[in-house]
Amino acid sequence: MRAVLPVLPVLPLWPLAVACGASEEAATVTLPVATAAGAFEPVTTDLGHVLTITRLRAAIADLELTIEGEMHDAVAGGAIFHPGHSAGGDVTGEMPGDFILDWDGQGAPLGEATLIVGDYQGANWTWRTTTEADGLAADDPLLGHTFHVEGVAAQGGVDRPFDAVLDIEAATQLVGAVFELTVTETSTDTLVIELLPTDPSEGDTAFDGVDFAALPVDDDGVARIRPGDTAANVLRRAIQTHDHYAIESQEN
Amino acid sequence: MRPRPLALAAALAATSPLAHAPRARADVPSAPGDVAAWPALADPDLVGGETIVVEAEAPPPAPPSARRIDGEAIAATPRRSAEELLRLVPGLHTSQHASEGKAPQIFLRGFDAVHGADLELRLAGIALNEPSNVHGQGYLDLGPVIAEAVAAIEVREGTFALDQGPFATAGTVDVTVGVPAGARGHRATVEGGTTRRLRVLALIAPVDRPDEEVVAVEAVTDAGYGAGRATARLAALAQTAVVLGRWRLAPVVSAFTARFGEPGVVPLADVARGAIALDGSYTPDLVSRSSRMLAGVTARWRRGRDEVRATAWGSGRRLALDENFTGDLLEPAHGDRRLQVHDAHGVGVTAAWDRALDARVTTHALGGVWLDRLSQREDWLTGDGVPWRWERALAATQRFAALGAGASLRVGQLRLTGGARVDALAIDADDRLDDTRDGARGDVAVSPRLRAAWRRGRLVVHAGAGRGVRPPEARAAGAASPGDTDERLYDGGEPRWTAADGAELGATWESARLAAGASAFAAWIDREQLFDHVSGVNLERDGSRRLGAELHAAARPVAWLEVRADLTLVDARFVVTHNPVPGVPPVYASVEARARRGAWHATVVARAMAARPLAHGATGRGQASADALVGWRRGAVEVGLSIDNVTDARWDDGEYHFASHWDPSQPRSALPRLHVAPGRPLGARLALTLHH
Repeated sequence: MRAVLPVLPVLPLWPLAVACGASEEAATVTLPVATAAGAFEPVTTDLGHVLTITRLRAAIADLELTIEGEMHDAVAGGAIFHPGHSAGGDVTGEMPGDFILDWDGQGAPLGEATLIVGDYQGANWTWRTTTEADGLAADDPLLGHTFHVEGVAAQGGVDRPFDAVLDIEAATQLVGAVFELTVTETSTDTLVIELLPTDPSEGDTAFDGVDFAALPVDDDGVARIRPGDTAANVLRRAIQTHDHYAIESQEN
Repeated sequence: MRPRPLALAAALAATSPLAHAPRARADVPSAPGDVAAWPALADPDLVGGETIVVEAEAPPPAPPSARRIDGEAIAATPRRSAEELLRLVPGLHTSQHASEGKAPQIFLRGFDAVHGADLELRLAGIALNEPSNVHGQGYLDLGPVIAEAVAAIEVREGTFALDQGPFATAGTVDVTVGVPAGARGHRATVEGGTTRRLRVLALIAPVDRPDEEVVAVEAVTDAGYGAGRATARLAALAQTAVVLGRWRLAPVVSAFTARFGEPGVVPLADVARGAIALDGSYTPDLVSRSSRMLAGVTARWRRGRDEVRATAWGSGRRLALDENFTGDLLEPAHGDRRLQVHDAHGVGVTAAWDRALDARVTTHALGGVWLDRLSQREDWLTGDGVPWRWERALAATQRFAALGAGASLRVGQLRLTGGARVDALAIDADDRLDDTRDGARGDVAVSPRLRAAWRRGRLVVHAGAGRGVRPPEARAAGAASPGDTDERLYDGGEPRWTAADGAELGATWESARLAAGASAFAAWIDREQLFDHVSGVNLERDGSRRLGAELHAAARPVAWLEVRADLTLVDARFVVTHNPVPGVPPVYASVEARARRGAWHATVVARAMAARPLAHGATGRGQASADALVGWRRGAVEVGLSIDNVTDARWDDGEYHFASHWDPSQPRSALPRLHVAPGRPLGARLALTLHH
C-alpha cells in the first residue's frame, strides 16, 4: 500500500496539461486569385524598342505562397523538411492545379488560394506546357507551349507587330515573385497576379536583347518568334524569372 | 587557508538527508577549481593506502540551475534507455521522432537543441556531440551510455563556467561512469516487457574496487509499440581506475551497435479520416543503424596547491539513417526517401590546471585540441531503396582548439569565479560532388564567463553571466556566396561560431527536510548562422531571445518518502517577428515521489507540458504522463516492475507542422499540417536481477 502513496503528489500535474487543450492546426483563410486587369504601360527595351504588349498568356501550375520565416533566406523554397530542422521560405499558402495566366487587359479569376495566416513575402509556381485539357482552341498558338505574347515594337517611327510563342523546360520553377501581405483570419482581399515587363528593382525589361527590327516578318507583317529561335531563347530566359512577376492584394 | 580533507566533503554529501534532492547540488563540479568534484580521491583505499589531504577551497555553492542526479536516483527512476535519463533533468524535454536508438530532439531553457546542437554532453569527460554530423550539428547519440553504469548525471543549465565547451549554448550534461559504493557488486538482469521487449544486462562492479570501476554489457531487443518501432542494441561500457604515484588514471572504453526502425510521423488529418492509425507508419520497413567506439583516459594529479586533470580520447563512428518524412511530396516520381551516412573518427586531449594562490584566490587554466575527420553522404532512394540522386558527398577535417583562463575569489561570504575562454575551429572541406564547394575556413570565438554566489545562513543567492558557442558545420566552409543583390543582404558570410549570451539570477534555500530554489534566466542569440542544405549558402537567422524562470522544491516529509517538483516557464521568441520558437514548451513541470521501506521501493514520476507553439501558428497539445517503478529486493534477488504511462494517457512524443503527401487518393498539398509521433501507451516491464 505504501508503494501507492507516491502517486498522490503527481496528480496536480494533470490539470495543467488538460487545461492547456488539444493541438490545433494553424488558422487559414481562402482568398480569390486573379490576373491583373488593365493595359500594360509601354516599356522601352535596352535596344530602344518601345513595346506595347496587347496580350500575354502563360501556363503555370501549383501557385505557392511563402513566408520568410525566421531566416533571412532569399533562397525561397526551403529545405527538405525533417522534424526539428527549420527552413526559411516556407510554403504556407497554395492554389494547386493548372492555370493559364491571361493578361489581356480584362483580368481573369483563376481560383481560390488557401493561406495560413501570417506575413507573406513571396510566391512560387511551376511553368508548364498547355494541353487540350486547358480548353484551348486547336489553332490557339499557346497550345502545346508555355508562353504566348502579342504586341507591337516601335522604333524610329516604325511599328512592328510581333507574336512570340515560348517553351520552358518542364517542371521549371519560378521562385520568389514578390508577394508582401499580412494575411489575417479576417482577410478577404483578392490576390492579383501582375506581370512586370520592367523589373522594378533593376530596371531591365523582359524583352531586353531582342532586336525586333532584325526579326523576319511574315506576309501579315508580323514578326513571329517561335521556340528554337534565337530571339525565343533570349526572351524566355528573362521572362521566366521572378523579377517580372508580383502578387498584389486588391480589396473586394 | 585551513586544510580541508575532501573526504569530509564527500561524507557530508553522502549523509545529507536530501542527498538526491537539490541539496546535493552542492556537489556539482561547476567550474575548474571545484576540487570537491572528485571526492573519490580522498578515499585511502583508492590511492594505495595513502591519504591525500588537499589544501583546497571548498567549491562555491551550486546555482539553482545546476542539478546532480545520483546513481540511486537513476536506479529508482523508471527508464527504458539512456535517452530517458535525460528526462530526469528538470525542464529538459526530449522528443523522439524515430524509435529507440536515434538521437532525440532536445529542448532546454527555450532552446530547440535539435539533435544536440545546443546541449553539450560528456561521458567520462569525453564530449559525445558530433560536430557536423550528416543529420544535424552536434548530433548526440546516447548509445554509449548504459544506465546501470552511470554513477551520476550533473547538469548545468546556461553557460557560466569555463570548462563548458562547444555546443553548451543551452547547458552542459556530464555523465559520470561508475557504480556508487552502496550499489556495487556484480549483477545480472533479465527484463521482459509488453512490447516483446527483452533486455539482458551483465554488470561487474567489485565492491572492493573504486566507484569508477565497472564493466557493463547490455543487449536489447524490442518490437516497439505500433508499427516500425522495432529496435535492437548491443552495448558495452567499461572503466577502471589505476593509481600511478600521484597520478590517478581512469581508462574507459565503450562500444555499441544499434538498429532501429524509422516510422516517421503521421499526419493527424490522415488519422482523423481513418487512413492510418495514430501509432501506424507509412514507412514501417525503414531501418537505420548506428555504431560507435570510444576509448579514453582521464588523468588526475594533485600536489599541494596544484591540481591537474586531463582527458585524452579517440573515437570511431558510423551512422546510417534511412528516413522519409514527406512521402512523395517533393519527388512524385521517386518519393522523398533519403539515406544519410556518416563516418567519422577523431582524437583529442583536454587539460585543466587549478592553483590555489592563497586562502582566497585560485587560478584556473584550461586548454585542449581535438580533431575530427568525417566522410558523409546523402543519397535519395526510390521506394525500393535504389539510389537515384546523389545529394551530398563530403569529406572534411575539423580541428578544434580551446584555451581559457580565470580565477576564483572569496570575499567574506561572496564567491566569484570568472574568466574567459577562446575556442577556435579550422575546417578543411572537400565536396566530392562539386569542386567549387571545397573550402578551408576557420573562426575564433571568445567567451567570457562569470559566476557569483553569496551565502547568508540557509540562503544562497546566485548570479551568472556568460557566453556559450556552437561551431559552424563543415559544409559551411565550402558555401557559395549568393550572387544576387537581394540574396547578399541575407548572406550569412563566412562560417563562424554562433554565440548565445546568457544570464541568470537565483536563490536556494535548504533545511534538513526541505530544499527549494528559484531562478530567472535570459539568453540571446544575436546572429545565428545556419547552413542551408538546399541552396548551399550560409544564411543568417533572425536573432532570438529567451526569458524564463525555474522553480524547484524537494522535501522528505518522512524518512521513507522523498518528493520533488520542478516548474519551468519560458518565453522564447525571434526578435524580428516576435514569433515563438517552434516546439519550445512554455510551461514544463515534473513531479516525482520516491518511497523506500524495507525490501520495497517505489517511484512515480509525472511530467506535464502546456500547449506549445509549433511552426506557422499551429499549436501542440498540452499533455501529461506518468511512469512508475515498484521494486523489491531480498538478498541477492531483486524484482522490478516498471509501468510506462500508468494512466494510458494520450501523449505525443513529437509534434510537428509541415507538409507531406502519402496517400495517392488525396490531393497533393504543400500546406503544412500537424504530424505526431505518438508517445508510449500503457505498458509494463518486469525485471529480475540477481546480485552477487
